[in-house]
Amino acid sequence: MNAQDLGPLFVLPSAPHYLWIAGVAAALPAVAIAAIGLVRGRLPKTLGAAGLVLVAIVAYLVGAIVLLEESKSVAFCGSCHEPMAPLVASLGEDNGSLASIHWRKGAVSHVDACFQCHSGYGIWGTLGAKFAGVRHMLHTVTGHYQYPLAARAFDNSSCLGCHAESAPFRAQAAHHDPDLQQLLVTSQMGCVGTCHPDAHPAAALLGARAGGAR
Amino acid sequence: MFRAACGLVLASQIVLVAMLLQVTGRSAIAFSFLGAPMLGVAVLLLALSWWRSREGSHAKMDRDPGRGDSRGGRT
Repeated sequence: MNAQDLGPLFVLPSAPHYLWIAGVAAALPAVAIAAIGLVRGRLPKTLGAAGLVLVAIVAYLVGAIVLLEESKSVAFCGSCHEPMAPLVASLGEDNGSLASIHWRKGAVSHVDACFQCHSGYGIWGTLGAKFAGVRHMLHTVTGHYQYPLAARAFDNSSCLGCHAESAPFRAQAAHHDPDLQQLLVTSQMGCVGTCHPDAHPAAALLGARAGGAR
Repeated sequence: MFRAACGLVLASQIVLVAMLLQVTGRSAIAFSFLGAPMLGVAVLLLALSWWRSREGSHAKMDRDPGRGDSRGGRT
């Protein structure tokens, strides 16, 4: 039976996500106060410019928290059509890439797979991923990127964080070689593209214009 | 200047609401590189406008010390 014929399986109720409502609720007073200021040229003393600044900044902070959370999703990464959409589209294909293997096996969440593999562990890993995301956005805005997309050396700790303790990984004789372990731990050698397949298919790294997108 | 600041706050909040309603790469870029700088400039303009009005009221008080000084220290 085709997996598509099974329909949705084990669809859990989605967790309530009220933060964006809080953001909109905070933005509306700021909009109202700013509109009054724009029309009248001054604000009532009870509101004041300080009130406007405070409400607007609080609304923006809530928006920033929403963005930090929502930008973990695969859908968000794939929404930048030109560079990222082909990579996201290739996840479900049987193309032998590491990303595809993990995706098809369900080894990574289908909600935030990009974030799982491309962020390190702990708060600094998350922060690093967010800064990388901002850099990606800058590259998208300025058009300052080239095809094929440059694949920087993949952080081995992202692989080892899940695999190092797994039985199949430990059963591999090569993984017991102390020299190899040293090379991997010090990032002088990468898991990806050497012993194991490339993370993403080469066609997807060439972007949508080169026919990488579906 | 005050009206310009209010306009910028208004525009930044519209960008924010658009992002909150649909979080995509495009709306996130607008939020980060358009809305946030607009809000920053608006805050600067509001601070400048507040400072200028404060300076103006002080200058007015210096010219006409009998008015507007409720503490009566300069009469």
